[in-house]
Amino acid sequence: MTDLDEAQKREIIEELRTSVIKGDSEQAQAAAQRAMEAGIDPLEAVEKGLAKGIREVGQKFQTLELFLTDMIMAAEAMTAAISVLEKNLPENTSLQKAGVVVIGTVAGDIHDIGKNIVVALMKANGFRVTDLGKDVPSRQFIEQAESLKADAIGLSALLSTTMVAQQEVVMMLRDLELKDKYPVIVGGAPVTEQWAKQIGADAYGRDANDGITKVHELVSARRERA
Amino acid sequence: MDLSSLKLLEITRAARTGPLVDEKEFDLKTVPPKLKQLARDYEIAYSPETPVPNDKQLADGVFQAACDFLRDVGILCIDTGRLIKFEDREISEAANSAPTNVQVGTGGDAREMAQRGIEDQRPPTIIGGLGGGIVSQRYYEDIITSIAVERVIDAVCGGSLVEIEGGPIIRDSPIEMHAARFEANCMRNAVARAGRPGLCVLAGSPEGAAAVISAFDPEFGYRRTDMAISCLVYPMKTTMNLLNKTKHFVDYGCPIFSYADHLIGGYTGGPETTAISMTAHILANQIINRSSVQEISCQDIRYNNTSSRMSIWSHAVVAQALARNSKIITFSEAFTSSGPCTKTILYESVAPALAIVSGAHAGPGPAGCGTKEVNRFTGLEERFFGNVARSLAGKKLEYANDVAKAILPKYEQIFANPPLGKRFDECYEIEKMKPTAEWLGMWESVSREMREIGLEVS
Amino acid sequence: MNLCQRDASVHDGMLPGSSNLLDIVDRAKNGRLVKESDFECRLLPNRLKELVAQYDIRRDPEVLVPSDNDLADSVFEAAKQLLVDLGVYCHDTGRTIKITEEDVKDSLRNLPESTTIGSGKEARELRSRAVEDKRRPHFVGGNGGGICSSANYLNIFTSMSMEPDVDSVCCGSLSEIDGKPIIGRSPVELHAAQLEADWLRKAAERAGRPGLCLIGSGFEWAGADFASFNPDWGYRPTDAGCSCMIYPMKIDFNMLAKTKHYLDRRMPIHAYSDQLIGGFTRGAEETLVSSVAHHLANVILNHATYQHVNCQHIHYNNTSNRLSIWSHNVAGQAIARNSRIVTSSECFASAGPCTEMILYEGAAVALSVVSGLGLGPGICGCVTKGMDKFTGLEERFFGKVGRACAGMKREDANDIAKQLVKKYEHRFDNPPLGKTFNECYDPESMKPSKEWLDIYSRVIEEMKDLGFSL
Repeated sequence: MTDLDEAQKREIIEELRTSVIKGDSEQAQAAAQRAMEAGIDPLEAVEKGLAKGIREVGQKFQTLELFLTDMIMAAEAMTAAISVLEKNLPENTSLQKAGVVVIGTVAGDIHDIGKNIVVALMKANGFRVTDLGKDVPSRQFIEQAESLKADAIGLSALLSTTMVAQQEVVMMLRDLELKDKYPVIVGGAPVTEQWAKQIGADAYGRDANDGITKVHELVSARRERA
Repeated sequence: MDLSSLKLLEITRAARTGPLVDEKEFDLKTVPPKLKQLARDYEIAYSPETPVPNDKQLADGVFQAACDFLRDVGILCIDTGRLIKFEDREISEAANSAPTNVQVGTGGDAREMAQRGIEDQRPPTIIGGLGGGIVSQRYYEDIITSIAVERVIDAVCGGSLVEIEGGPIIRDSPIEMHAARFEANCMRNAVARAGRPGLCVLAGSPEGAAAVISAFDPEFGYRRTDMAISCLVYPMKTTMNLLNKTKHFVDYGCPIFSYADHLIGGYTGGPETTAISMTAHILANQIINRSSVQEISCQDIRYNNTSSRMSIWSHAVVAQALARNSKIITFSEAFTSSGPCTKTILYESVAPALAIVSGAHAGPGPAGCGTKEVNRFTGLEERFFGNVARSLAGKKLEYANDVAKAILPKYEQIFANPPLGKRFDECYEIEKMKPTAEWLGMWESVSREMREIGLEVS
Repeated sequence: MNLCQRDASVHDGMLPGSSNLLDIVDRAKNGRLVKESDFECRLLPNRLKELVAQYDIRRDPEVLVPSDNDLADSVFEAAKQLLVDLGVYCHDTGRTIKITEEDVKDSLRNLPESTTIGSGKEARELRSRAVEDKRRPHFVGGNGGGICSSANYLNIFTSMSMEPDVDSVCCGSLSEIDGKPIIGRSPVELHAAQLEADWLRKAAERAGRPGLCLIGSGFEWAGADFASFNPDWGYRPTDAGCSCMIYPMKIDFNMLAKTKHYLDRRMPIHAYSDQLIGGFTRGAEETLVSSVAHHLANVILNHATYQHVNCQHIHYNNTSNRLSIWSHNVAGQAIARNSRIVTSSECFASAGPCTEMILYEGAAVALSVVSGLGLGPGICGCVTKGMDKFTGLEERFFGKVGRACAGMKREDANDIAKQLVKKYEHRFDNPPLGKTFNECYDPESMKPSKEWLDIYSRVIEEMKDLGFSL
């Protein structure tokens, strides 16, 4: 690779990083396209460009130099860029190696801020996340997990009256004999470790960061078993 | 808080832990074959030549089949996709510990309802009203008033508002609440205008539980002497929304009128299997919805009426099954194909009234045009229905059968294209709250015919 | 029979506020179609950023309780502008409810001079307060929806209702009934709401204050709320309904249905609108503008009688951090200087009962009384998430300290606040979670433990040294 090529590569990777920091999905996609055309290794583009950008956003979010919306837009930009980078890869190859997670706010619950923070952080940590949104029927979590071959299911609830739907999902997994296939992590304001144990969830996320750690553990354990 | 509402908590939890089923499979592959098998096992067969049977074995067979059906199939909770299962003991208890005396209304309009027997001499209670038929905001109160002025009516059932303040009713919104409150106001005002402020009204066209709950208020809404309405979803289903309403009614302390409209020709097949299912629903309503009284309503799927030959047979058989084997108080709902200001609506309304002889009370109804035409309800057909029902008290099953055979030819042929008659404002002088001369003339003519066949309809 | 006679006992359901709600639903059906994520992530934060710049709203990091009337007035103007520019997002229709300048003007003009809550000797007259007002602030007791077990709910709220400074009590959040989960939108939720109302009534009776105004229900679903109204054991017309806006700048039909129910019963309405500094409303300056805008929206949409300010930190979920304290004080001043809205300062503390820290945090938040705010709900320890970690003693402290702030100057409050915050902010990442009610209260005698009382007494003395006239 010539110096010019190196300079161009650095420039493209820098653009990937800044587009994520700015939360500009269009720019991120365009940069990803340029990266492909320039023959840059997709993994490098992710690690040195996109992931670096989102880690910076995450750090600034911790100190409130940046805010939740910045995290969300950054995660969206990253996802948009990755979808371009993955186009030329063999089917079922993912650049987000940490795992596949299906997540949502449970049925009857329309609160999703906490879940949105977790989604953004998960993406920042290399997970491929399918966010089902809010007020998600119990069966839909399972159907999506099956369809996407998920590594884990995340269930968020903000009300003491809706957290029971977390139990429903676990029960349904059991009845469908899928409990061992899809570990479940639960979280949300009224949710406690005791509740998680009571309903047979595999993990409890006390807050977003704790949730990420726990999901890493669940996915690793699952992969070891497989 | 009523402790019996705690039973509902058990049912709610059971709805979360029962066997998981697919709703479509349930409708198509569980309910129909089971009913067919039970009809065979208990030799239950429909005979078109005998619309009002006098057959104890048939009645008892329907009851037993219904118990088996409920025990084996259970009730599906749509929200959870799981079955609520019942044991024989619970079903037997439901049949035998239903309330034997139900008080409704106050003052001069207080009424006591008790279970009737087959060929019972005692006059039936008459619930007039729309059975949920569709009405406009403009005429709601007037229509109910026209019914409430009819002294033969012992309680009056509301309808379903098609709109409020010129717009549609949005479920679970302030609009639905406003509609619920408006309706409750209308019912209370209507009975006051009729000079019968204590008359029992039957609540509850709003769908959402929150709106219904908000309308139960002694100050402006439904009182403890009115009746709340609860139901199951055909076939063999319930929802959390319905259970929520029931819980509130039980806590509130008012009597509960339950229904589970059936379709002959629907998931429950022909008249014999629909009769089994109807009976099973009534038993299930008793357990789940803590019913005070219940409705029999087996409508012909083609015509949405209860005046067809098959409906007459089903109503008779279900009423007899329950009269002979339970303490449950039943009512025979009247849906006609024809509308007001036609002779055929009057002929048709005789049909569901015939179940009086089989042990039922009468109503709600009659509700014309299968309840699906706006404002086609008046007090005059209620007067006729009530008088016919009263005059059937003490008559024999054979007599009822003869009346059925005599009356059916007068209207059966119109089902495919029934006369819709006239709207309330077209056949009533609203200021005076009296039917027009045209409508009154029809009523007088058909009443005369009834007297000629032995019904003392004044 | 008199066909013209109506049932005299049936009053007409269409009260003026009630018919306004139908107009609101109409606007929700016909408003501008907006994707929710666009509203939350782009429209709202961008407009807030612009308004903060336009009105030059700036936070001085050295100041926790500003004495800057221009700042307060600017915030109020910015808030009005935000509401008129963006409207309120309706969750059910996916459209924005247009709010006009006339709506804002009329609703502010029509606010009553005072409202009565509670009954008998517990009747209280609510009036808005001025900045540095000498009058006693009203105090909303309770744990701000904090999680309580069914076994201890009654006792916890009895201990709070016993505190004489408490003027009304806000409900908690039941986590279970007899160990079994509460199933949302089911008879179990109805039952839970009824139990909660019954317990709150009993708690007030046990405290010898049967007429105490109860704010309920804490159950979000309207049906459960309505089922908990009962003259014998549930909420009464002298209690206050509980409505809210959904952060950020959203509402739904379920909430409007609750408002309608309260209006039909001519009840006072306590409405809230919790904010997140660092969330969709960006930093402290923007979130403060948003908070004031939510207050205005609550008046217009939810016919709020009284409200509370809650600007939580997104990471700590408390209102005792510097950013929140600043926001609460400026919001309070903005509202007090420009309207008759009655509002208070909610205290979400990181620490739990039976710790010094919870009291320090409460004192810091109580200082916002000088900015025209009332007190509460609070003190809500463990940011409401510690099961049963709520007692009456922190309420007692909050009330005492809050009362002592009446008439204090903002500059003095600022000095005290700066000293207080230094005592605890370094512990936000790992706060002392304290003890449960049963661990620091005797449920039989309803008295705090010696340990807890000692802590309380010690901190009271510290407060005196800091300058509170206790």
